[in-house]
Amino acid sequence: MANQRQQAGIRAFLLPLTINGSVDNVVCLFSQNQVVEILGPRPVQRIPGSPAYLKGVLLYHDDLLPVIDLDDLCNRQPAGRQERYRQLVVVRTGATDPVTGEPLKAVVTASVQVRIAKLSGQELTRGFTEREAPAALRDTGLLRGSFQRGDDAVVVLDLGPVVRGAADCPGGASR
Amino acid sequence: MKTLYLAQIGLQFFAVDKECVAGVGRRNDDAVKPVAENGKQYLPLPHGNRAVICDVQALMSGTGGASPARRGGYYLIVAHEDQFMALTMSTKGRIVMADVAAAHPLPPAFTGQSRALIPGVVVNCTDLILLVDLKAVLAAADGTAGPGCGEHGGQTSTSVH
Repeated sequence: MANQRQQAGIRAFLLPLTINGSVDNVVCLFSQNQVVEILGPRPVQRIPGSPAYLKGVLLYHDDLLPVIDLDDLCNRQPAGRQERYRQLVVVRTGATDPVTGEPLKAVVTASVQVRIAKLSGQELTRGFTEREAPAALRDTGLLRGSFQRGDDAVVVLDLGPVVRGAADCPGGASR
Repeated sequence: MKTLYLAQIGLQFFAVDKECVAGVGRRNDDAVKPVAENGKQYLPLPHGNRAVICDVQALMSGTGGASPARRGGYYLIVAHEDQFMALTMSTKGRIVMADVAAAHPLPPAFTGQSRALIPGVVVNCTDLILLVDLKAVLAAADGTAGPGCGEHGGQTSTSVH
């Protein structure tokens, strides 16, 4: 079964990032198992006193989910641009609530449309080559992997520390 | 169920305990001029009291205290212990009943000041109402609302009603 799935390929969701000082096209990869739903733009409830990368909360199926801007999370100097998002991506983070033990989801903002790539088993093994991560991401403690795929620098991020409130992130200055 | 004062600030709803509300005043009322002192803005109140002005939208955007140049709207004047604070509101606000025991806590991603400011969120259909901790807002409004807030400041005019 797993072999069949590998031959058929998996879908990956590629979210373009704007990383300060990086000349590469950096994209953040989410697997199809991570992505719960991609939502259209809708109002996000801002929370005073939160870090710049936390854009607020969104009510999703009776749960309040944190809304995270990955550009601000990864960059030391948040861009401070207008907060208009084209899409909101609901993702499973793999982390659990330290109090309730519930799995924690998050909403990731996308200022451009998320790309969907169908990756075959062959491409997964040969199409991705490991590479040095963009400098801005190296010391964040959030990086799970960094790869080159064609013209894209593909990064895989661990949002667990962010949603658990344990992140020590570059873009963490309070608003 | 608890009686709360619901304030609309920008496009968002905030709620404070109705018991803490001292009054509502119109902003940019010619009869009452905010007074600047030590980089803070104070609103004169009756009986010589004054309230430190807290621009909640500025607090949300991280730009700090009051922005008196913005016109229109209202002040929600709240009392906490012996201090007064004037929160800027977009509309006059209203009294509501809410089941605060059913309020959601903020997700664990929010720590520190945000969690202190907003101890809970009441869900009303698709609207979210942020419950406000006045003590934390007072502290955040000016770093320290300080001894000037709520003390007798020698101002006599007011539009609080």
